[in-house]
This record gives sequence, C-alpha cells and structure tokens, in this order.
Amino acid sequence: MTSANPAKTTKPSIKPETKSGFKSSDILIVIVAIVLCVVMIVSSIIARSESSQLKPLPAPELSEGQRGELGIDKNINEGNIDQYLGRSDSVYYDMRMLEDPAAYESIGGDRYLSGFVDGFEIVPYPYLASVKGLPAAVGEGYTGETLFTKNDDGTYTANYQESETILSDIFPKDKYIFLMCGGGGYAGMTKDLLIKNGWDKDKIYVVGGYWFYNGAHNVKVKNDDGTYSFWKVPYHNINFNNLTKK
Amino acid sequence: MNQKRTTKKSKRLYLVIVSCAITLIIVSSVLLAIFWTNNLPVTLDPQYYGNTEVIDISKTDYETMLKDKKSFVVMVDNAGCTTTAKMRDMMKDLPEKFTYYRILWPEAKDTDLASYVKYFPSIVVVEKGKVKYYLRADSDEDAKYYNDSAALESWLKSKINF
Repeated sequence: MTSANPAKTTKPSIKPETKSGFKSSDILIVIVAIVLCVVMIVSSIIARSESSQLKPLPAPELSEGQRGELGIDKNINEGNIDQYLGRSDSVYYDMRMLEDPAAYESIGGDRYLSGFVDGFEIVPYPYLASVKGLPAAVGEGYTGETLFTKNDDGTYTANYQESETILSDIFPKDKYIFLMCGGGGYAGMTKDLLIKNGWDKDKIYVVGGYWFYNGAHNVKVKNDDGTYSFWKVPYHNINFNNLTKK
Repeated sequence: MNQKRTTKKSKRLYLVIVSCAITLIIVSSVLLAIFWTNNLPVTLDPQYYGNTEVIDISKTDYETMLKDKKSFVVMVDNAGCTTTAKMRDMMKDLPEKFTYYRILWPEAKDTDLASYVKYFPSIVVVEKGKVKYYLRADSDEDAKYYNDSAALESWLKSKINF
C-alpha cells in the first residue's frame, strides 16, 4: 500500500481557512477596515460638532481714551481681529468709501480705499447717514443721497421707504456685527446709527481702523506703482435711483 | 565697665541711624532731581518759535532730525480720517505761536515713533533727538487733551517752554 495519505502530502496552508472559506487574515483586514472607517466617521463628526460650537465672544467693552470715545472695543480690535474672522454667527463690514469725494490728497492723504482686512465687506457709511465735521482743507465730503439724515439732537430720520429694510438686510439683528474703517470714525458712527435704530449694542463691535492692522489677512488694493486693484474689493453699492423717497 | 559698654553701644546705634538717615536723604534727593529733570519742559530749537506753521515731513526727514539731535514738536496724523480732524483744528487755533511738524501714520509707523505712539492722532515732543512727551489716544488720562483746546494748551505749556 503505497498510496500516500492526501492529508499528509498536501502542503499545510500557512493561513488557516474558516468554515465559510474566508481566510482569517481576510477577516482581520475587513475588521481593521471597518474599525478605521468607524474611527474616521466618528472623528469627523466630533470635529464638525466642535467647529460648529463657536467660541463665545467677550462682551463689548470700550477702549480707554479717545479710542473709547470713537467706540473702539478694548477686547476685540485691530490687534486680535484675526482670531474672530470667519464666524458663521457674525457679519463683518468696513465702512469706508471706495473713492471718497473729499480731497484728502490736499492734506497728504488718499481718497481711495488702499486696502482692507480679508473677510470684511465694504459698505460706505456716507451712504447710510450724513457725515459732518470734515476738516476744512479737504472741502466737502460726500454730499449725495443717504439712507438716513442725522439730526442735530443725535437722532436719525429715514429718507427712503426702504431705508430700514436695507439697514436690516445688511446688518442682521440676530448676528454679531464687526465694524471697521480707516481709523475708527465711520465704524463708530455706524454703531451709533444702528443702536439708535434699535440694534442690540452688545452685539456690535467697533474693531478700529485698517490703518492700525498688522495681521495676516491684509488685502492690499493700492499697488506699489500707485494704481488700485479695485476688483479685489467686496463692495456693497446702494442705488438710490431705485428707492422711494419718503 | 557695663556703663561704658552701654554708652559705646548707644553711640554705635546713633551712628548707624544717622548714616542711614543721611543715605536716605541723599538717595531721595538724587531720585527727586532725576524726576525733576525728566519732567522739565522742553526748549525747542529757536527756529520753531515765533510763527504758527505746520510743515509736513516724511519718515526720512524725521529720522534726519533725530540724528541732528533737534528739539521739536511733531503731530502724528492721518489725513484720510475723520478722527484726527478735531486735533488738527485745535492745534491750528492755539494762541502760542510755534512751528510744528506733521507726519502721516503710514510714514510714522516705520520710525521709532511707533514704539511710543500706537494710534493716531498724537502730539509728540522731541528733545535733542529723543521722544520725551507724547499723547496717547488709548489713555483715559489723555482723553481731555483730545477734546478740549484749553486742556491741550495747558498740556503743551507744561511740556514746552514758550
């Protein structure tokens, strides 16, 4: 009887098979893959939920001195605004004009918007309400139509039927509002306009002036050769011709 | 013997007290003198007295004047901004006749002024090429000088010899 026992002659498999025919190494790979998928899904869910939980903002608090008089915030300003950019619960506006009619170059200035902080959109304050008290040397500033007129007693009168709606559309009352301009003046005036029209003062931050900003989100509009790249500017225009006078 | 020792001891104690007192007096007078000299008003270079004039200067002009150890007044300003308008007008209307310089913020922030003046506007008094006094736009103490011409005038009078 020379017939060999097949069980003895077949080379024993290194990877034992299960009853169902799968190798145990295959099962291991599947298990590892499933675990990895679960870990990835869970971690992405955790990451998403963490990012949706926005850091609470410090309550608005005025800076000291003249900056405080302009309404510039002590806790959130040009120095640290980068930490507060891109929040889904906030809107960001720079209140300067793209081109200011006031002849600022007559006193060594620049009538054009030379740059802005990325994330801020431009809504010129002079279109929202009348501006008074520009230095005599620069002549008249913007004297055209405005949504509101500032009265001598500090109140505002709407000039158009749509004035309040436009203001509410630009500055949603349920969001935090971050305001900026060149030095803090127009931004402070905007805060005053909003508060007098019923906005919550604790949701408005005047973060100061672009001129003092040294952060990482500076978008230069003025080029080295003196030309301007205005196409970079996210600009809100108000077309007064389409509005109904009150 | 005991009495002699006691007398010696009290003499020593007396000497220690006297020398301590003398040292204290000397140190405090030196400190007072330093404080007094540091807070004296600045005498500007003669060419700045007599006329009310505002001269615009660049970063290079400012740095040259520092090198030349000049004593002068410079206003840190930013033309395209409503916030500096009041200070500019108050400076122009001062009864004291003196010439001062005006440097715009984009130029000023690249000079040593930036280590003192963090926000425009500001008035800076330079003595022999060194910044001696300046107004801070972010200080409650200085706020009155930004709003009231009489207060600004008295500040200038306390910092400059007219």
